[in-house]
Amino acid sequence: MPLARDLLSAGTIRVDAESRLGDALPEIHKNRSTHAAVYERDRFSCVIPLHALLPGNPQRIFADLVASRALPVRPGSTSIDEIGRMIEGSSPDGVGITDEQGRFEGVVTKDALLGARLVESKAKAVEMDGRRGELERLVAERTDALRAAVVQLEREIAERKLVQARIEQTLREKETLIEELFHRTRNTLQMIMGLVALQAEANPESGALARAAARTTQRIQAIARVHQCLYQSGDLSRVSVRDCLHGISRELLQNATATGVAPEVHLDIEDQRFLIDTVVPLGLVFSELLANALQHAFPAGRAGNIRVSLKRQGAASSVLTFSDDGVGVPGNFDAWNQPALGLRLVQSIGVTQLGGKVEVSNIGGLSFRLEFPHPVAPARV
Amino acid sequence: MDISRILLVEDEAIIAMLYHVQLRHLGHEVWRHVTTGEEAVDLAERERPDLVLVDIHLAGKMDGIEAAQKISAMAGAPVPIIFISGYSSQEVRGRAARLQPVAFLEKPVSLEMLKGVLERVVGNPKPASAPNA
Repeated sequence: MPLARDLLSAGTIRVDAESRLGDALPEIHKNRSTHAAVYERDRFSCVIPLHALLPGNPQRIFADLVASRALPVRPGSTSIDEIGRMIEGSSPDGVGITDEQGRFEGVVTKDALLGARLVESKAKAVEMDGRRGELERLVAERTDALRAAVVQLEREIAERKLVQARIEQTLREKETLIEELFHRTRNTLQMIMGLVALQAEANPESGALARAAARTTQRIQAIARVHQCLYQSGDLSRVSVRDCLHGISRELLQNATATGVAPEVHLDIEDQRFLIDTVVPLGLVFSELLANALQHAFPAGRAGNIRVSLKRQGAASSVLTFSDDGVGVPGNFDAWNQPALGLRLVQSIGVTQLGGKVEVSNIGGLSFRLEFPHPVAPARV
Repeated sequence: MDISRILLVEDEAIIAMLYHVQLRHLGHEVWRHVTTGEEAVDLAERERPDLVLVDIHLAGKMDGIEAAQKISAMAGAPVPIIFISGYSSQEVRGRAARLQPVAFLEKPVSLEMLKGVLERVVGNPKPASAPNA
C-alpha cells in the first residue's frame, strides 16, 4: 500500500512548495475517491478534516486538532501560518486530510504547508517590497525636493549676504563721508577764523578791527559748536537739544575758566529732540547770550550765576529763558538798539528764523525769554 | 617749562599762519613749521623740540598721531604733544589718547583754547597727561 507521500511524489496530488495551500485543496478534494483506499490515518500524527481547511472554517481545524491530540493547540490560534508553525517538527510526513466523516482524503506535506507559508511570506515580502518601493520613491521625491529647496535657500542666503555686504559697504562709505564732511567743515571754519585774524593782524593800528575780528572768531566758534552737536547726535533729524546746549555751555565755560574765574551756570533743559532747522538757530541764540554774559556781566572775576531753562509750553511751543545776576545794564538799556551785534543777532534769529517772540527784561540783571513754535517741517533725513 | 622750541606740524597754509598769529599773541613763537609727519620725525631726531603742536590729518603718508608716536618713542625726556584736529571720532581720540598728550583740541581752535593749554604746559615741569583740552 503506497504511503501518502508516495502518492504525493507520484503526482496524484500536486501540492508543492510553490503552491498556495488554498490552491491545493480543491485538487485534494477531487482525488478523494482515489485516496479512500489508502486510508492510513494512523500513520499521521496530525489529521485535519478537509472542510476545516476550507475558507471560513478555521475554528473547526482547532477543534479537530485538539480532538486528535496531535498538536499542542493554543486556544485563540486562528491562522494557517500558526497551524503550519505548530505542524512543523511534530509531523514528519505531513498532515492527513479527512472528510467530514473522518475518512482519509489525502495528505498535505509539511513542505507544502511551509511552501504555502513561504509563498504567503513571499507575497507579503512582495507587498512589503511594493510598499517599501513606494516609500523609497516618496523618500527620494522628498529628498530631491529638499535638495532643491536647500540649493534655493543657499542661493537666497548668498544673495542676501551680498546685499547685506553692499549695504554695510554703503553705510561705511556714508559714515566716512560724513566724518570727512565734518572734518572739512571744521577745517574751513578754522581757515575763515584764520583769515579774519590775519586781516586784523595786518592792520595793527585799528583797535576796532581787532575787536571785531575777535568777536567774529567767537561767533565762528559758536557755529562750530552747534555743528559739533549735530555730528555727535548721530541722528540729524532728531538732535538732543539738551546735549547740544550742555556741550556749548561746557566749552564756553572751559574757555572762560582758562582766562579767569567764571560764574556758575545752571542749566535746566528739558530733554527734547528737534530738527536741525531748530537746533542750529537755537544753539546760536544760546551761545550768543552765554558768551555775552560771560564777557560783560561778570567783569574782573566777579562771581555770580547764570540760569538757563528750556521747557515745553503746551503741545506746540517751547520757551527758552536766560538770566544772570551780573553787573546788569543801565535802566534805559534798549537791547534791540545796541550798536553791538550780539543782541541784534538774538532778536533776528529768534524772530525771523525760529518764528518766535523775544522779550527782554532788565530787573535784577538782564533776562531774556524766547518763545518759539515747534518745527512743522518734515525731517530731512 | 621753557617752550621756546615749538614745532608746528600743519599742512594747511592759512591755518598754520593763524597758529603763528595766535602763538605770537600769547607770547610764543613757532620754532619750526613742517607740513608732513615724516618731516616732523626727521626734525625731532636732529633737534629736540620743547613742544609739538600737530594736526592729525597731514600731507604725506604719516598722520599726526603716528608722527607723535615716533617722536614720543625717542630717547630722552618726553616731548609734550598737543593734537589739533577736525576729526573727533572715538577711534581717532582713542589712538591719540594712548600717547597721553597734553591736549586734544578740536578745530576751530580759538585763542582762549590755545592759551589755556599752553599755560598748563608752561606751568608744568613735566608734560601733563590729561587727554583733553
